[in-house]
Amino acid sequence: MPRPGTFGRQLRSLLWKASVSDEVDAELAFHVEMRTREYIARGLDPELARAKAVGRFGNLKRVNDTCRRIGEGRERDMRRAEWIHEFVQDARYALRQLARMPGFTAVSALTLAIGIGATTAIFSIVNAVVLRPLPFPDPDRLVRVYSNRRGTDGSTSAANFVRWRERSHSFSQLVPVEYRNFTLLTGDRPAEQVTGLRVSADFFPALGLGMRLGRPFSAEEDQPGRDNVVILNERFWKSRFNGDSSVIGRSVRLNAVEHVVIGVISPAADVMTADANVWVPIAFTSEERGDSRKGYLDVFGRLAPGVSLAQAQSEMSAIAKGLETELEENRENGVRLASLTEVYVGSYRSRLFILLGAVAFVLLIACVNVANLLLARGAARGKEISIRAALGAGRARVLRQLFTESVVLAGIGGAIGLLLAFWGVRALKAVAPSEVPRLDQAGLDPLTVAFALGATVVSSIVFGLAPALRTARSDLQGALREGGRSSSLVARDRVRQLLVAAEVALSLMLLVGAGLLIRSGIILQRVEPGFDTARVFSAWLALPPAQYESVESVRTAYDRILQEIRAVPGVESAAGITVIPMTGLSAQGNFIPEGRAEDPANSISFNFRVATPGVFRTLRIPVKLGRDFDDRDVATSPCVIIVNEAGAKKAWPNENPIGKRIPGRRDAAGQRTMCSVVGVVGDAHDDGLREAVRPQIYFASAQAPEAFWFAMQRSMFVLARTMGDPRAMTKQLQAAVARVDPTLPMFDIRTMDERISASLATGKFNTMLLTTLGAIGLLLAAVGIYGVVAYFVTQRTGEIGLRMALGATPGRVLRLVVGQGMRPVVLGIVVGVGLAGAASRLLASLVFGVGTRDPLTFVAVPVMLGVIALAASVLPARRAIRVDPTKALQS
Amino acid sequence: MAVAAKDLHGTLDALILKTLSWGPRHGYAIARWLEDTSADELVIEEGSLYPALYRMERRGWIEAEWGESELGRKAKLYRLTTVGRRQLRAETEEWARFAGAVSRILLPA
Repeated sequence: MPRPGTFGRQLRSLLWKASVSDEVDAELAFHVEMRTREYIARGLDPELARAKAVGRFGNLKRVNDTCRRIGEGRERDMRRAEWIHEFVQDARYALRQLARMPGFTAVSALTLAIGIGATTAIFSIVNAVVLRPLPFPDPDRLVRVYSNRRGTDGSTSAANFVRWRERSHSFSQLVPVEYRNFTLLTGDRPAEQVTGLRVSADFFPALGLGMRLGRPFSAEEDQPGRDNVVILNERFWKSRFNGDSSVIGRSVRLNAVEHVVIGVISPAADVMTADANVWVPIAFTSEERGDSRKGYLDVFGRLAPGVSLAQAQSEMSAIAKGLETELEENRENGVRLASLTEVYVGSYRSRLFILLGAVAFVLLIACVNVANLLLARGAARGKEISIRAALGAGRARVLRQLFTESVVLAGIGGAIGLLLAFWGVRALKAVAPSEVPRLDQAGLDPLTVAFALGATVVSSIVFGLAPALRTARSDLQGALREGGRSSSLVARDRVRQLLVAAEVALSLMLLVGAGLLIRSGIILQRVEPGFDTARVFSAWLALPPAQYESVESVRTAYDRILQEIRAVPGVESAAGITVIPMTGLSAQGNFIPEGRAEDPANSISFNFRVATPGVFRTLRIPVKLGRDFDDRDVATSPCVIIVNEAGAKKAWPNENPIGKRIPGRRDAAGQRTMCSVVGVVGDAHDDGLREAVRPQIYFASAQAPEAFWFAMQRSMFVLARTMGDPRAMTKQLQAAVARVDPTLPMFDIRTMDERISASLATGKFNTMLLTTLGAIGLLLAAVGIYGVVAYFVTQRTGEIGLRMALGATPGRVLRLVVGQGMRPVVLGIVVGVGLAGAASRLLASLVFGVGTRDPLTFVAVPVMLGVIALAASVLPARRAIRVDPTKALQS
Repeated sequence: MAVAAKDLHGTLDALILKTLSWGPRHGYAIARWLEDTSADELVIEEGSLYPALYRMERRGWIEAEWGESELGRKAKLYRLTTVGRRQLRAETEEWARFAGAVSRILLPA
């Protein structure tokens, strides 16, 4: 509603636009002059009168400045008010327009909502997992320090660690962590197996971890003999001790030793150690300090002020160089530093950014669709725009109004999109594998909402710009004369042809990317794990050292446990093994086959594990040559080993491996015992189906030395092949173990099928996300391409009628119309294939079993899009041909 | 002794609004009218007058237009708006309350 005087004010503000200061000058000059006249009239000398008039202002310059500042502020206020007023006007008008075309509005808003919703949901996850900093003070100063042998990162021995700590100056703290399992006994419940950590006392200050309750370890408690204290993880404290704060000071038994609970750690620790329930001081014994053989420490450091990662790396490399000669087991042992953020989110970064890229494509396709719809509508609105222009609306004003419509439309789409994103994030969190770090923190936080808002604004510009320019520029007078019929304009419309080509190219890139990854996923599902996972029960046991001190007692216990399990009705076979396939765990050792020079070049890295007889039968790993372990293989008999085919091929190519020997452990005299190959078995995947199978060595459990059992914490996985559902046997199997030792808990009970799917879960999650995105993209692209191509053809109904009336054959007309309709589609396909070929290289690390130029994908996707476009031009063209020419011409 | 209008905190706005309630005037005329009406008991300082006018214009209490002064010179004439009229009423009441309260204390009956 125009207010009275608005026009005059606008005119004046235009005339005086740049001159608030002129206005102030003139007004004050007028005042001074009037006052001067007054003084002259009172009889003062003119000079003096003027000086007095000016003097009354005090500081004239300052008064002038103040007035100008206020005046300019007022101008700004007015401009803003006017802008808002116009925007509200335009927005109301836009809403009326949109309400008048509910079909158009619904389709466009929903299209945008899908685009914005998908992008926002994925962004929320990328933000939580990758972008958000770790919850420690100065997280970018934290590093992980790896022992690195021939390019493979590994754990560190205590002897190495204490030397690193003594000699390095690059860190304000360098701290060790050991993952360890404990048998917890609190007196009120049966014994249970809990995961835990041994850490040094300065671990807490190094990471800046606070306590939820109680206190951290003191330096004295980090000494052997004084270390009988324990800190609980917050979640464990809540679930196991009901969050009872009186637990502080209580005594619990860990591995049969009394420990006093002194604190509960803050949940921030979960980021790196989510499943560590109990924390004890590491308190190195002098024996441990001297041990350079067993690597079991994960080392973390906080860089000292002013030290860069590269400087720390070069110092540590120099220290490692010195240790190579100093410590017997340190040959070729290097050190690698990595930033902690990189370690925790590094592997997810590329995947998630590719996902974000994929959703950006979906959003772009959605925008192109809406742009096309707007263009079609713009042609129909030519008359309305012309009238507005004729009534005096400038081009800028018309453009702004069209843009406001885009913003309003995008706003509606964005609001629905935010809702979709809210559900989307919830759904994604529900189906995501638990390994994805920090995923539980994803949600619609302010940053995500801001992102959605940004996506809305950007998309409104993207889809609104071309149609607005096009509509505002269209031949206004012509449109008026034609009475709104603008069919002849459409056929020549370059912008729309370009949009068709762009839409085809974009969809093609998205679908090729999704196609490659979906193909990888399918191929991966078909990879044989090398063993039969069906109906196999598995659980982890660890014998507490207090009751099972000697190696004999450990062997006897496992023998008896397996005997009891085999006796359970419904169990076909049972066995024990230290590392089971597909758990992502593996112990590695380097071995030089007998008869080769003691040269590192001859050494072969094997994944090794210790197994009882029967393990191959239980896992259905085929024995290809020789035999399984049996009762003959005892501690006193010659050392025997079994290798897998990959290992046999690597160590003894083109030879019969049976009877060949490799050096095993050292005996009491320091001599290495030779172990001979008695069998060759099939390859079983260790590190997930994606990796190639590595050489594997199996040692007989009856021959495993005491040091080995110590390193493995006297633990083994117990496997049982059952006749029915292995899950249903859990109770009986637990009872079987309890018959040997009622205080011994079973841990990590899962079927082998469950283990495999856990190892595939992350890949499946990715494939599923991409399949969903690909499906949304395909749907949007199909609707979009069909819509716009078909619209073109329909617009030519009159022309087709004319051609038919003039005697053209249906076949010729069809060829002509379809040929012209397909021209931008073909252009889009050519450009899209080129771009997809270049972009697919980004996916190299994610595809499996197919090349990034996979011919099937690169043929199937263009053909599919081509068929959609062909259908979109042929179907309406045939309809147009069938229309009676006279009717077509009249319309 | 003459009193500077700015010493009476907050009253300058009210005085200006009151002046304009008799019709549009330019800044100098406002100052003169106030001086004349108060028999020169009130001194209107130009350093306060003009910022006050600009401030009130920004608030929408008064609006300005360039027009002819009585001597045929171009001058910026201020006029009271509806909002300004309302404001004048409010400030007058406020002043009456304030003056009444002060009077009761300083000039006991």
